[in-house]
Amino acid sequence: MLRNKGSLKTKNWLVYAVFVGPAVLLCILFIFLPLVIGVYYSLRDWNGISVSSNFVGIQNYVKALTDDKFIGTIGFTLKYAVVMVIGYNVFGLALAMILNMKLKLRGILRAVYFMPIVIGTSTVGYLWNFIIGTFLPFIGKTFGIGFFERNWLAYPETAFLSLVIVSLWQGTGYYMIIYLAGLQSVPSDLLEAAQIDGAGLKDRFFKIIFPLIRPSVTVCLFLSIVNSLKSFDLNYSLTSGGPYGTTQTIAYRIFLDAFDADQLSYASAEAVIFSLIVGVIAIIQVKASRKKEVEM
Amino acid sequence: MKSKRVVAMLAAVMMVMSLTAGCSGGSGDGSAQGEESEGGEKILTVYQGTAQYSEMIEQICKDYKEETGVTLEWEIPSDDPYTVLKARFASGEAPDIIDLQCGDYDTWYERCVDLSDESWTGHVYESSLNGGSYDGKVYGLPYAMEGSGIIYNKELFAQAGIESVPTTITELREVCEKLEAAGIQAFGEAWGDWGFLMHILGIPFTYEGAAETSERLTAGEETFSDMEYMDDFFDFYDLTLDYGWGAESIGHHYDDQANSFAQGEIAMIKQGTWHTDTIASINPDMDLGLFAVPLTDDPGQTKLQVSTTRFLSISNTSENQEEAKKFLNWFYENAQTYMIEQMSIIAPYDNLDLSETGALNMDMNAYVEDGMVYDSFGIEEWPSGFNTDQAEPLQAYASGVMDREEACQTLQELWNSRVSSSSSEE
Repeated sequence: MLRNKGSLKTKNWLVYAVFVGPAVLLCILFIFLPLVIGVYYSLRDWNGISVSSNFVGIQNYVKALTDDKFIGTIGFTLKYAVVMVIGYNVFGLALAMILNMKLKLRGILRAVYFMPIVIGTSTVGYLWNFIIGTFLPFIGKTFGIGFFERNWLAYPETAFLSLVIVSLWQGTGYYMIIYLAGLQSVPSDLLEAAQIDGAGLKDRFFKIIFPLIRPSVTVCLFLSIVNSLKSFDLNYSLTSGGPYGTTQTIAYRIFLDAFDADQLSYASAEAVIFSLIVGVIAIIQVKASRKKEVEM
Repeated sequence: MKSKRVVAMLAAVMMVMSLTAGCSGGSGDGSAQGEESEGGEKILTVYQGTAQYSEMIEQICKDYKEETGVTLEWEIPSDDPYTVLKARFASGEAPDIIDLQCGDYDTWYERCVDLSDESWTGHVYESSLNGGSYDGKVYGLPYAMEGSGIIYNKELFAQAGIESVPTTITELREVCEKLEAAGIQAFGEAWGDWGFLMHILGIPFTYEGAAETSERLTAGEETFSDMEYMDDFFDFYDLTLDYGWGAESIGHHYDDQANSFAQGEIAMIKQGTWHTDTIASINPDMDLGLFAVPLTDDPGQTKLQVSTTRFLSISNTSENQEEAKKFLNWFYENAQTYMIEQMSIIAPYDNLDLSETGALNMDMNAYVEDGMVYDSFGIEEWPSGFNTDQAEPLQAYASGVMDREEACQTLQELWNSRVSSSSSEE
């Protein structure tokens, strides 16, 4: 009996190792190891090319935290993230609600809204760069629509707006799918019962649907916060951080410092600070929204 | 429930941490393998920094293989070549031969083989040789000489009744006015690209003496505000805005500018000889010319900026260094065939026949022959990273967010911060 129990335990361990092992190995190789190396380089003065580098302590961190440009990009990224998190979730949930109804073209519409996320973000950026920068001004001038006559990418406010619109256009479908999955797990008998008891649309949404899709909300909030804080490719391909650096996100700034300005160590320090910021925000959010989840 | 929460938290932390992954790089010792394929045939790997020469490269690979039996694996990355190249070096997969630009050698020399004893050094123009050198040693074979100036559409100039190219800023303003009167848009500038702003900001440097001005700025003996030709620079910049796309110039880029110009919508663009093929690919019959940017009213100062822009170097971790040197020598000897006849780009060697290299090159040649040339773009001695930085204040000026003084001050701050970061690296 005893021997049997022991072998069962080792057997379990083997099963765990087989399932978790590869993932852990990949994580160590591609996430933890680079992270450690990144921290290591952030304490040195390597430019990314030279053969040798020296230890400089926390000098890079001090410089990053007193660098107005870097602080400025943090401000911009937070602003962008707030707008995007609201946008993604409000539009994502709204679309999911609509496409959860019994519409004729439901399947096709779901596919259509999800489609943009399949296209690479930089491709989307270059396409919209042409649409916003060249095509819309042409339409505006031809038909005299004042709104479109100016090149939106040349002015800070409209460049920001372009960024938001294109991000929404591309990303909303992704959150819609997660919300749809959540909505479909809401039992219809509950809703019917509520309806018979005289609950209106508003009550049904806030008292039944919303509490039940809390797990989806948690996931969507988390993903949208992290994704918009990390935003890089669209800034790179749509606005190139312009006009005059007003749409630079942290990730884009780090990229510029590392590879354009040849200050890889300094950029590593920025990246470590950035990870801490994102980590803290994400953990607070997950903790806060987990508390409010209910289980059936 | 509790363990689920912990797992979720861990997952969250891990996803976040993956952010830093991209910015780590490795400590490669760069041990490139001497590659030999099955039949024992020799292979040289070449890494190109620009897609500009693709056609020529294809031909060279074919011909070199026929002549010497050596296979060239010539890689042409599509985007962001230097980021990829740094990654290659870091991971120990450095190519045998790398293609670099002037200004790269104060950082890249550590990775290159000393070529000072090669026979071609005697036939390369000295100023070009300097661009590929560091501390008196030659590290790169220069192969492309380019001129930066204003390209103009001769047909539109004729329509507006303009008979000669302007040699002073006053004449340039008159040209703009005449074009405007004829209903033609004079300028159309791609100030959304930092590279072209970099070219024009280099002009006041060349006027004042490029290397010395950079030195004085770095030493703190001079600021952008008191650079001698800064006001003239802004006068010229204003012209390109007022008679062009105005504040929206900063929303325009290389491609749409080339399109508008080649379709005859704009009379002048601030570009250079490198534009020959781009324009020809859109409109091959265009009648073009090139003239130097005038900043002042002294025609004697209006010289064309001519610089050697590209170099081939050999990686010092390559195991095929001798073979690579042979190839550089072959490339030098055949520059007439490939660079001039095929690409219409001038190589800076003193033994080439330069007739029939395209209108823009012919105009550049005329300046070279008259000695009306600044032998740099003014940007070679800038601190690393300033080339991209400078675009922001200049774009802000174009939008009217900054005035000249504020733009100069910001330029100065950016310059200083780049100087302090590069000096702490040494």
